[in-house]
Amino acid sequence: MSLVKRSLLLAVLLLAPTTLAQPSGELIIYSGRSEPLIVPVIRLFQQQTGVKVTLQSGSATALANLVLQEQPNPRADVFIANDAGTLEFLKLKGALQPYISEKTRAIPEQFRARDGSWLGVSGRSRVLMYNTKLLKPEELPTSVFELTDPKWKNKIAMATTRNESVVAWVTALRLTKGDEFTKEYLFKLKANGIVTLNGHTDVRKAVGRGEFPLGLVNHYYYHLELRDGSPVGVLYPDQGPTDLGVLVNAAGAAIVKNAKRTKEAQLFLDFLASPQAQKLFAELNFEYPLLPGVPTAPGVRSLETIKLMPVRLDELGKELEKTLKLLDEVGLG
Amino acid sequence: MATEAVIEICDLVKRFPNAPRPALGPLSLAIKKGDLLAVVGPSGSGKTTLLRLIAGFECPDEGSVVIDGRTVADATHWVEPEDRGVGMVFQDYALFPHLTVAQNIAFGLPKRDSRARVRELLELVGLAEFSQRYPHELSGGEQQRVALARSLATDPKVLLLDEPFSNLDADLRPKMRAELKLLLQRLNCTTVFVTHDREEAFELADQVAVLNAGQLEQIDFPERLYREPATRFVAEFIGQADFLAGRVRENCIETEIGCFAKLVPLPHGALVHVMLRPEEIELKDLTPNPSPVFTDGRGRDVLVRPLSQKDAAPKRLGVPEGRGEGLIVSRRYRGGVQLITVRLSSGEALRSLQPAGAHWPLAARVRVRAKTQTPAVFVGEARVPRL
Amino acid sequence: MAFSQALARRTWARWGGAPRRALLTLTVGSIAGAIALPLGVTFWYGVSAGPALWATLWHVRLLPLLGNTLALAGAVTAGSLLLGVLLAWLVERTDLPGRKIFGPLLTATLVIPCYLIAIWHVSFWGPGGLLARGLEAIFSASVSVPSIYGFLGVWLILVMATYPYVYTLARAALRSLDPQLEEAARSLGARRLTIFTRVTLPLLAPALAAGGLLAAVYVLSDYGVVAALRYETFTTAIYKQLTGRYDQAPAAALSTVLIALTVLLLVVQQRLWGRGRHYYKASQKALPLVRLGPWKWIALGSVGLVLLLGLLLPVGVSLYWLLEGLVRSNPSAVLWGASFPDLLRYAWHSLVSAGGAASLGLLLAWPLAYRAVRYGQRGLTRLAQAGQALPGVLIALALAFLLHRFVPSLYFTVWALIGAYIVRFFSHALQATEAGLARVPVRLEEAARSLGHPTLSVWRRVTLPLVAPSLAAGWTLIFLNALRELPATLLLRPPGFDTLPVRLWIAAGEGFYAQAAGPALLLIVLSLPMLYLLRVGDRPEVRHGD
Repeated sequence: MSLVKRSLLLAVLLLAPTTLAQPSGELIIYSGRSEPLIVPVIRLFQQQTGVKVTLQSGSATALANLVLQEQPNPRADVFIANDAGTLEFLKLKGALQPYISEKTRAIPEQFRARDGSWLGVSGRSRVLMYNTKLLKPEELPTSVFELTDPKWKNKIAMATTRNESVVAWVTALRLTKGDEFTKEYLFKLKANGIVTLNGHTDVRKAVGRGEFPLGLVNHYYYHLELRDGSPVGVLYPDQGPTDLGVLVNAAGAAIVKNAKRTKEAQLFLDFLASPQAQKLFAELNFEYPLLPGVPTAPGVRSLETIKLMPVRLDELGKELEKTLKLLDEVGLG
Repeated sequence: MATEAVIEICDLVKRFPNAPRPALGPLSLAIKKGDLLAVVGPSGSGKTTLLRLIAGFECPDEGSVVIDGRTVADATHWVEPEDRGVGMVFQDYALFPHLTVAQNIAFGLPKRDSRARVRELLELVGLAEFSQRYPHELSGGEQQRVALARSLATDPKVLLLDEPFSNLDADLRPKMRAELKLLLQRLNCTTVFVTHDREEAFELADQVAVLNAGQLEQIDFPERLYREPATRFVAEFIGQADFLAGRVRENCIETEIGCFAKLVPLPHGALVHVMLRPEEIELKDLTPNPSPVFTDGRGRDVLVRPLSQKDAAPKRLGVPEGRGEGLIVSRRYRGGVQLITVRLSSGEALRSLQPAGAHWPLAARVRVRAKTQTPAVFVGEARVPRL
Repeated sequence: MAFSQALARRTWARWGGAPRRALLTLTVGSIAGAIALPLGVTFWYGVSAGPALWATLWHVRLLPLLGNTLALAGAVTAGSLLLGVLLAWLVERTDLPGRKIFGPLLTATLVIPCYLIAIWHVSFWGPGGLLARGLEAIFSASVSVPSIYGFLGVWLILVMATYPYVYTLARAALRSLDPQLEEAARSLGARRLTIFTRVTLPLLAPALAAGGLLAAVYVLSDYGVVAALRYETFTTAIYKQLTGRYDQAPAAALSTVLIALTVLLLVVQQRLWGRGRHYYKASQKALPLVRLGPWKWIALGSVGLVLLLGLLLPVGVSLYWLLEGLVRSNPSAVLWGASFPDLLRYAWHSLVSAGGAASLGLLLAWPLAYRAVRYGQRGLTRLAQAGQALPGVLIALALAFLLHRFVPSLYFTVWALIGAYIVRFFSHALQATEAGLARVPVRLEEAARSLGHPTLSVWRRVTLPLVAPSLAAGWTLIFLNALRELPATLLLRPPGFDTLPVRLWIAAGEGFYAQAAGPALLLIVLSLPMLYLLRVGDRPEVRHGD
């Protein structure tokens, strides 16, 4: 008997607090970024403004899906993504609300939505990193299109095609080289045994410890791995005069339409565009700060010295679903 | 006699760890070819252990087992159970649940020419139409017959049956007993079977061995066991028996209900006990409206009714004299008869078997008499042997 | 007047039970329906996918996925059958030294969620892992270690995770085999090998088949191990589809195939287990132990190896990482929220959701089990067990869809998480309650009623106290399984409601093992009540979490 009573009591005790576990009056942020890359920024924001933040980290696409599903009564106030394409996609679906302030206007126009629906916060370029113990500089490819060469069979790692940076890169290829070419290129990569890992952190660590000589990553993953003491080098592909250039994408943030805490959300976006936040992105994460005047971290090539792919970021959003369809047809992991 | 024996057991002892006394023995016995020996005894008396020692599932600590002239177990010999040629029917039959009846029976047979043999055995036990059934689809009696057929399939020299009827319904047992008896007679197979039911033992067996606490108390023909039990234990285990104290006098043994014949020399004045079975006890009502005379087991009025020729012989000695009065203290009906317990004035109790119809009110005053003049006489635990 | 009263009384006596029965049926029906709904929705969603989608799936995904998944399920089943039978035989039937200790210890690997085993094995064997580092330190040159990733690694870990199912069932079967059967075979002239192949093995077969199929079903539903070891099966494909695509129809279509496979296996499993039941009974006597002789050392070695891989290595490695995290403060450690108060918060979240699921699950299971046991009506009960056919990923998918459509106020709340756990583990609640009720003779309830107690009072004063031990076991079982649940939690947790498995999974996924060690060890400690269950009855139902 006492056992029954005890378990019933336990039931009540355990169920009661579940209603309290819901946060209230806090800014809720859905973030598709790798958690350690965003947490310091959020901490600083909390310190400066006193606004409490609840962070939900996860796959950017899954969270974007949530943002869409939750309309018109969203739980999240702010959505942070790795890639401008995802943000633009949400804008096109009408799930974001525009916000332009003096502070956000400080970010150059090509890194913002025209109507202010999303704000680019930090820049990243698509590069190749390599293990310096396994490859000498003269052995390196100069173009991503050389990666289909049998010489690189089973030697390249990349992040899964669920990753938005990868999707954006494929979209950029489609926009510049056409669908047929891109599809054929991806099929060749697949046939050449390119390995897709769970995320970029996996790729950088795998290259760092020599599991793969080459990895396709965003540039700051190379710097992070270098900071961890691994023998890695970086290569900016397709830099020749007739070459395509590298894709520079922007990670960014947006305020969700019908958000309950719009004021705090606006405060957060303003903060992201502030020099302190920009400095954090640059120094902790080795990203390109998008606010003019904030220097890149030592050792990081500045954007001006790189040849860029001629792709507008907001086009990435329009083409997103077509790219996903193409990726499914190729069946790359 | 020894040359004829199929099983010879000599000074067999089996101990189990952490037990104060041996589970069995020392024990010796021999079984003739074609004989059916029943081993009876209360639970824990070692009867199943004896069976398992013969079968080879237990290894004796001392002594030897010889089957058909071959020593299968002693200090230097050991023959595995599968090589002993001993068939066994287990208490709950141990039929292989994953095999059909036919497959069960064929288990010990070589693959080829097993079919004919299986059919033959199925017919022998009357289960021809059940060959493709699984054990759990059979009744208890059918399972038992399958188990029997399976153990007979390999033509064993010796057949061992462990409590073969204990798992059957009470009303099925007599029928199965009769069937088994017929079958075993027909096969002329040397058989040892264990039971705790004396009726079963008496009905089936040529000889009955009584075990108690690992010791062989007596091995004998059923009739002798009943009439002349070697010990008080056997007497009580084999049937209901009361022991009445008596003194050895010049010519007789004097007890509370009268004098009995003294057929063997006994020291004068010694304290002995006579064994009286309920069917040997007569009652006479001493209340004001008495029933006419003594009654026998069939309700007929008799004075003295000898049970057998043996009992008839010493008739000239006369019915023992004595007062032998007592009170009826309990009455138990059992079908056609009732068992009346009378407390004698000395405080000792005697039981008497009476027809169910007779009126024996509780607390009635009765006179008790024995129908026999020559009951078995015990000194201590052991019976005084007749000359 | 008197006549009509008597008539009324008579009618009431005859029909009086009916309204209550109808009420019970209604309650039971709605509970069972609610619990089976996610399965139905997923299935229907997938089936209704257009033919074009199926054609695309068939060409690029389905065949390789089917091949991968079935090959893995087959190989793991075979492996855990061999290992489980061997270990059970060694522990039950031989003179293996220390068999009394090894007996329960070999099931203790169930205390460690299997994705943890996978993670720690990766951090040990994996490239740049502890082993490689150690070897490099010793030989001062890099030594190549065979890759843990891919089929072989997944196979090894999943065999470690699933052999306890076979082992416990085989052990129980060995123990309850009637020793007389083997003796009967000997008396019929059969030798040891013949007895093993013709009697023992066929008799164990139903238990083994049931255990093996449990292992296969487990492989189908596993997410953590295959994801950690980079092997693609249906669950990872579905998870990827869910987290990387906006169109969820392909995920639903893949789910339909997976559900069909799982239901098929579960039905076969139930059949086999049911058929085998009458082979076993409580045996009175133990058979003599087989002497191993010099083989003893090989046997001890294999048992030791299993314990090393399944228990010691994972625990040891997590302790190592914990210490390293404490000694070497990595700049990124701060970012992981791996401080002690954070850990406590995650643990609290885990306890709340798992405890809530266990309590609520038992409460909901009561009417179903009562109806099944007392009235023999099991149809709806079977329906409510459907959840066990659903991998956590699918439950999350279906539940998110349903809640968002119909109960938006519960969407992304703790209640959604608790609901997912209940759907997933409801069969444990049912089995425990049914088993408990079956052991309370209906005569006892009748006796109590004849003494003047109404139904509720009878339940409270007679039935519940007698069922309580079973309920406690069932509660613990759901609690532990929910505590370690990973994929559904990853997808359904409300913002800010991270649990221990979520934290350690995210940290380990990024390679921050030191930050994963804290939640991992805490999870193991909270799983220790499992030992109580193992003591009670060697139950195989505990899942490793997946």
